[in-house]
Amino acid sequence: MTRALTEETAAVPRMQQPAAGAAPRRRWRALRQVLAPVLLLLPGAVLLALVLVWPFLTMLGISFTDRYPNGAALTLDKYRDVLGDPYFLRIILRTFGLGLVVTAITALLGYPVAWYLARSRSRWKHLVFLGVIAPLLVSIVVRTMGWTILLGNEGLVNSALMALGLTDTPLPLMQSFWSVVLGMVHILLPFMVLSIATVLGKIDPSLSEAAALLGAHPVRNFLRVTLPLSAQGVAAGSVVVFCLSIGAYITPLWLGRGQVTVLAISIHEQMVVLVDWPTGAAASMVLTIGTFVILALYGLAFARHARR
Amino acid sequence: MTLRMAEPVSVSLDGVKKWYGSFAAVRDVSLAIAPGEIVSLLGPSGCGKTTTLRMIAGLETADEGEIRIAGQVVNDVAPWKRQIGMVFQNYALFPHMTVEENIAFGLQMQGMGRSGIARQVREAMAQVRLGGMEGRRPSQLSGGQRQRVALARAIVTRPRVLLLDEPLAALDRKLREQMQVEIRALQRDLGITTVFVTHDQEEALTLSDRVVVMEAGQIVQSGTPAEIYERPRSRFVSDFIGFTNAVAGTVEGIREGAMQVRLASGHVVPLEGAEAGFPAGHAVDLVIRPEKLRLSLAPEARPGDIPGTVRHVVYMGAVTYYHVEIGGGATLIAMMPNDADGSGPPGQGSRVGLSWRPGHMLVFPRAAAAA
Repeated sequence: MTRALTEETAAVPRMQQPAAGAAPRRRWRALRQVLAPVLLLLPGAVLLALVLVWPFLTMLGISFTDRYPNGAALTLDKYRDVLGDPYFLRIILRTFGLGLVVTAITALLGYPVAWYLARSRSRWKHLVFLGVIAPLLVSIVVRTMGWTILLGNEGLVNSALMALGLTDTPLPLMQSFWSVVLGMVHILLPFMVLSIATVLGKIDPSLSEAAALLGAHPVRNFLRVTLPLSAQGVAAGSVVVFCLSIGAYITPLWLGRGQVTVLAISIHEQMVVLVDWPTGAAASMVLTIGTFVILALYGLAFARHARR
Repeated sequence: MTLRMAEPVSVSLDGVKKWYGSFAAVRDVSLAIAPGEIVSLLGPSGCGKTTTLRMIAGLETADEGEIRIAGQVVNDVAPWKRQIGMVFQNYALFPHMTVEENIAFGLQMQGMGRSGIARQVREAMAQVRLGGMEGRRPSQLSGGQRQRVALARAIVTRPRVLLLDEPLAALDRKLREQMQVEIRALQRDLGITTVFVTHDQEEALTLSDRVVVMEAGQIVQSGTPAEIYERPRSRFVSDFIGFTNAVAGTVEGIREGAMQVRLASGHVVPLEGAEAGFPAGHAVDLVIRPEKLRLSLAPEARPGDIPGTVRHVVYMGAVTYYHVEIGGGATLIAMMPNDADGSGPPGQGSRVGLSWRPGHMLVFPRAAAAA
């Protein structure tokens, strides 16, 4: 109130003087405040619209047609096909199950590593950090190939087992849900470690010291203080890992050897092999909506944290 | 008095040392704290005072020496078993808990029942005047309120020892003075043995029964606030506690039972009762507090006064500081209360005489790298 008054009184003598150019300058400043964010966001927005929104809307359209191209009727048939067919349902369940299992395992494995990265004062710490992010520098294809070399029929593990006489025929180490889980955990672990470590690093170490002096045994200390405060990091890491694993294609294809069909593989089959675009598009929408649901749950769960 | 504490206990440190790599953070600290005493560890940053406090808490382990609480060696007792209440410098309130939950935490760890917790939390909150704040989160509180929550959380479990790490450093001046009084009153009420760390000499003087001054990992002097202030044992202590004047001089010898010191200005100052005798020719620093200097407007009238010229007058409200140049590049600062006795204060440029009581002027050997 006072400030507004002084500004007004200060403005009066200025207005009386023949100060040409003051008003246009003020108008330009107001315009710039609007223009700056628009100009900053425009290139990214255009790119997103071209490569993400437009194809997405196209796919959405295709999923409601009976055939493509030259589809005539608007229909829900393809969704009925996807959600009503036991074969597709199994694939959907397997895909989301894979996501949940991979997320849970990366969280359990990643938390201790993140703890070490956030709290240790060791001089080996930066080597561990490098070890965590190094896999990100190598292509997923190369890393999956690595697992093939290890787990294949002529791979390292089977060769070793046969050389030791533990087995006569190569064990089917690939081709299973769990071999896919193994590869996915390996590929996605860094995302989990990094997002937990970021949050853990921001927790004031004196909080658990305070809890200890108040009589909290280390286990209760962790459960009551550190874990709740790092929950947001676990959740953020879980969202990233879950979304990446339900959309994975190469790793389930190679490590599952056609035995572990997930939605991404099935979509590829529908569209490229069977050239059934509408069914593939409907399956894509199921996958996308599943991802959105997970993101929405995350947003709801942590809305109260943000309010703090 | 609502919260009654257990019988006060003693805390003692015996030859305690702590190393960080090759750096000795604490070297040979021995200290006996009587039951119910409030002791401050005072010193500049890096003097080892916080490390010493953290070793009492069990948050750091002593590399050598023994730490005893109530006569028992606690070196190997985990912090969660030591029954110590601590207020951290940044308060370390749990951000995901309400004020009530923060204070209840320690009681829950003790396994106390729901109704007992509720009653004790209520009492502790009343004791630190926090009523009505139960449901707030730490982020919704002011600095002073957070301080009170931290205090309540530390005392509600009835700890044997209360530790405070720079408890008032984050508060503004007015609040700090208010909290000083409150903490002192609370400590007296509870009768709890208390150790606190501070770098603020005023805080140490007003809050403690005993001040322990530390420098470079060692205790340099320990005594009542008055002892530390009136009879600092070294130049470091006198500089660290309060403002002091220092003038360089050279010992001339001993005459009539007093050590004669020649100042750079040429004046020869007799020092009666100077405890440490220095040989003639020894370089010394003469140190005196501004309020111990007496200023007279007629320098020639009083034999023995050191004449000088007022160069600056700094009016501070209750008192005025006079910067008096005595020649030879030396300036002494005298503090005079602004009472209305009408004699009229000396103005800038006036000639004055400086004098002091025997024993108020302290002599220290000249430090090699004196500040």
